Amino acid sequence: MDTRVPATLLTGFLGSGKTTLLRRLLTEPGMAGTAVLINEFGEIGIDHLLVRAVQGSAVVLQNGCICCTLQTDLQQGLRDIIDGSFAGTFPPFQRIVIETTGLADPAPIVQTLVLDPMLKHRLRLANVVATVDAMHGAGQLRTHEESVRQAAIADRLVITKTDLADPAKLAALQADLARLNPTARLFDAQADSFNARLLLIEGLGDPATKLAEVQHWLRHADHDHCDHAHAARISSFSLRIEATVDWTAFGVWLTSLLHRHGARVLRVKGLLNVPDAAGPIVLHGVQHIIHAPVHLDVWPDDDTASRIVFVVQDVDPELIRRSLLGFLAAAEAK
Amino acid sequence: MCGACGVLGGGPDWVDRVGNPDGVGHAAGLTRGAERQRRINLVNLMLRDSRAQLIEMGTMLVLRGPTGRTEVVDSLMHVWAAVDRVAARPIDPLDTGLLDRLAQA
Repeated sequence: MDTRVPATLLTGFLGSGKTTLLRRLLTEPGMAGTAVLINEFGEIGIDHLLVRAVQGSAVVLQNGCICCTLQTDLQQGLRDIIDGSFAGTFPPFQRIVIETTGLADPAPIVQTLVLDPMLKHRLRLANVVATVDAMHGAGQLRTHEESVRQAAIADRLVITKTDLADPAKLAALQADLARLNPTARLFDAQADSFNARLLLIEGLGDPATKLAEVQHWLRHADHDHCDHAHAARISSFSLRIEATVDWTAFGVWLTSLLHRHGARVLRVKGLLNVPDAAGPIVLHGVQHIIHAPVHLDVWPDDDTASRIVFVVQDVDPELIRRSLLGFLAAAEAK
Repeated sequence: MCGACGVLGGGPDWVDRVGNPDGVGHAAGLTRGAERQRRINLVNLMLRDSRAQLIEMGTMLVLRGPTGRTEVVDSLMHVWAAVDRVAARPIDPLDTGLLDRLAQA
C-alpha cells in the first residue's frame, strides 16, 4: 500500500481563478488536514492572504516562479512542510495542494515531485488541475504558450466563470480543450453538480478509481490526430496496436524517444496488452517522466488492443506512429 | 551495477521487469540474464546507425563508441545520454533514415 501523501498541483493562467478554486476547495467538508504551498509572482503577494483567511497552514514562495527560478525553493518549501509536521511545528496533514503562478510550466514541477530523492518517498503526485477562464481562456490558448502547456498537461480541467460566458463561446472552449487534452476530465466550476473535492479524487493512484479513470481516457481518446492553432502548436493523437506489445522493446523505444524529444512530448497515457502480464498495463507520464506502471485486473471494455494517447508539441504524430510500429516490428524479427 | 535492482542497475525503473515487484510481467518467470540480454540486443538495434554498441563486460554494461571511447552505464536513460557523448551521431528514434533502415531489418 502506498502511504505517501498525495500532492495536487493546481495551475492555470493569470486570473483564471486558481486561488478562488483553492479557497472553495479548502472550505469543503472534510478538507481539514490539507497543507497548501502557494507560489506568487510579484513583490506583493496577496493570494496567500486570501487562502490564509480559510486555512492557517499555508507556505508562500514569493518573487519568482517555481517552475524555473524557484525550483530549489519548491523543494525546500515542501521539505520544510514535511519536516515541520514531524517536528510539530507545522500542522499534521493528509494531502498537499501546490498552487503555481499563472505563468508556470507545470512539467518541471512534476519532475521535481517525482525525482527529488527525499520528496519522492514522502509525496506522490495525485493530479494536475488546471483552471481555464471561460471568458478569456480561448484567447489565452491562442496567444500564450504557458496557457496551452498547463491545459495540455492537466489531469483535471476546470472552466471557471462560466456564468459570465456566452454559451456558444463556452461550448467552443470546451470542445477545444477536449481536443487539446482528450483524456483530462472537464469540470464547470459554476455547475450545481460541481464539487471541488472531485478534483482530489486520484484516478490512477487509487485502486478504487483506477479502472474508471482508464475507461474515461478510452472513451475520449478515440479521435485521431488533431492539430490546433494554439500558441504552442500542440496536437494530441491516439495510436492503436492490435498485436500484443513487447514490454522490453516498448521501454527501449519510449526511453529513447523521451531522451531526444521529452521536452516536446507533453503527455503520454496508454493501456497496453503485454503478453506475459497478468492484466492490462496502464502507463502515464509527463515529458521525460514516466510513472510506475499501474496494473489492472480486468480490461476496461471488450477491446483488448493497446491504445496510447500522446499530447505533443511540434512533433509529427505520423513519425511517432511509424517509429513505434517500426521498432516493435524490427524487435519482433530479432 | 546494482545487482539488487533493475536489469541495467540503478533503482527500479518503470521499464524493469526483474527485481522490481511492481514491474510488468514480474511474475512471468523471466530470468535476469535473459531480460538483460534481450534489452542489450534491442538497445543495439536502436543504435545500429550510431556506430556505438552496448556490450557486457563481466557484470558491467559498457557503451563503446566508434573511436573506442567507453562509458559504463546503469540505466536506459543513462544509455541514451552516454550515446550523445560517445557515438558518432546522436540517436533520434524519429529520424526517417533510421526508420527506413529499421523497416529493412
